[in-house]
Amino acid sequence: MKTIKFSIKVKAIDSYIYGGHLFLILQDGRIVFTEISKVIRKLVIEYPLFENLIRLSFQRNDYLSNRQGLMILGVGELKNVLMKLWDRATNEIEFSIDFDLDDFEVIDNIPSMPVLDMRMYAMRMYLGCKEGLYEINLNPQDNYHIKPSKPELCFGGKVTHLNAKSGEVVISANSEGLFHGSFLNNKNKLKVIEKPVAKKSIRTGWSSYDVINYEEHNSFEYFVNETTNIDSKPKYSKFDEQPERRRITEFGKEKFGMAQLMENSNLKIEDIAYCFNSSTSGFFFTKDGQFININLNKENKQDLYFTSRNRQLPNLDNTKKHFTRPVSSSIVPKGCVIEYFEKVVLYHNGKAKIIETSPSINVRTYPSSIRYKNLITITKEQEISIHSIYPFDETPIKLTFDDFDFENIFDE
Amino acid sequence: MNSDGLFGPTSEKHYYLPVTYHNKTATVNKHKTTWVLRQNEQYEVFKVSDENKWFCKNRNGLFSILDNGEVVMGSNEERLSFFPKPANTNDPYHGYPVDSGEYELSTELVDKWLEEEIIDTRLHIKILKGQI
Repeated sequence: MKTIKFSIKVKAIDSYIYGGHLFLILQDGRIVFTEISKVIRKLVIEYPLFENLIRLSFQRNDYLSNRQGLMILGVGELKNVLMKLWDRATNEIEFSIDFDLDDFEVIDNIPSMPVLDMRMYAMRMYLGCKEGLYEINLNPQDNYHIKPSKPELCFGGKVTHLNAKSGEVVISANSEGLFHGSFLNNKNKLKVIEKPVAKKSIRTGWSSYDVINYEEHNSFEYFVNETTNIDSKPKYSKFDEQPERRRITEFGKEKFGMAQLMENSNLKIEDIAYCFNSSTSGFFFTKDGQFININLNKENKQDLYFTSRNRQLPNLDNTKKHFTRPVSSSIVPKGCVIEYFEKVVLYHNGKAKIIETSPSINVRTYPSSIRYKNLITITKEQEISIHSIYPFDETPIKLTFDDFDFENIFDE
Repeated sequence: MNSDGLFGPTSEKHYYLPVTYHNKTATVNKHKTTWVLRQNEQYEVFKVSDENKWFCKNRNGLFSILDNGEVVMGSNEERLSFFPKPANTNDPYHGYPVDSGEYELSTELVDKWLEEEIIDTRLHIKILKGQI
């Protein structure tokens, strides 16, 4: 099943959905935001026949896959009807609306362009730029009304990637190193620890509360973090539908190198072209064109390792005739989204589906969000597109190498 | 190519010498990237970088890119190449394909490429992030 997609014609370099709002970094450097409901209202006016599907897909996608939704759709032919409607919407309609600045509020101009990464967390916006990291408090008055503060520089130097969880903000600054910090202090502002915890970092990925630091696209180091339970709902998480339950108390208490982690796997380190991780497994693109998923054994934190069983995932082409090295990767439930130089592909439920056929500036997913975990936002030079993933299980195809000769296993 | 196997000179009076272990037919060496470009094509990539002074002080060498990154230069889909400055001024340059995740380019050079419209906004961001 294809994704349902709508686009907003706007010149932006990044887009982010958080807390019922859509945030954009416009190409002229302005940071703007609006309520998702306002965007959806415009969309519904344009396409009234699909109102409920639009609302279900983009506003409350979780209604389809929560226990109540699954029970309702388990009745009779309801699921089949939904599938038909979904199929029609994906095949027949190009949902699109124009950007109108009047619908948005301007936060400020970003002091340093371009923004290389952004992360929204704990009612804060972190903007990693060419010349530093900026923090914007979205809710300084501690109520749910968003009234953003001005951007404040909290780290100097180029920031290539950001992550945040359990009270910690993780900052990749390429050859400057890997940094981390917390806003849980008396100033209520991010304080970055000056000393890097790794010499190089281009990106990071969470493995539950631990962090995998990627020094290069095919090499990494695993940081085990010490955590503690939070007894009462943390103040910074009070607006979250699922408040955070643990706080990181010691970052990188223990480290595991790539060679150590890969020791039991059936994959040679030198064969890896690109890798990334989910909370429980690693994904590896090899130099000969394979795409492999390997579980990470974490039963005993003293003995972390990637297991010996490789699961072959569908790939667009398993020959070197066509170049298919990822540019970026993001996790979604039961799959991932891979950005290539000229397209974006959703790998979901055992299938590879091309969801964008032109180059992107940025691809984002929201795997830890309740409402937006099945959404993908893609920023391009002339538009942003928001995709909703069909949330139900599709019967997976049993893949063999012969299957790669037949294009029909891929839904384009 | 002259009788010494050198290509050039460029207008900067620099020569280029393709190195066997980086050539497309080289035996796989996990520490060496390999070109998908022929030797004369490698020289053209070097020439455009040398004559436009795409020097990176961070890495002490020249970086090159063609057609806003559309041209793939290396067998692992590298779209950039690097030519380290020779230890002796009169020595020829050699070079190989790189990606910006492993070889971080100076911000000044990436900004210069954007200003001179060698790359667009998208590639500017991708290279600064180390994604290409």
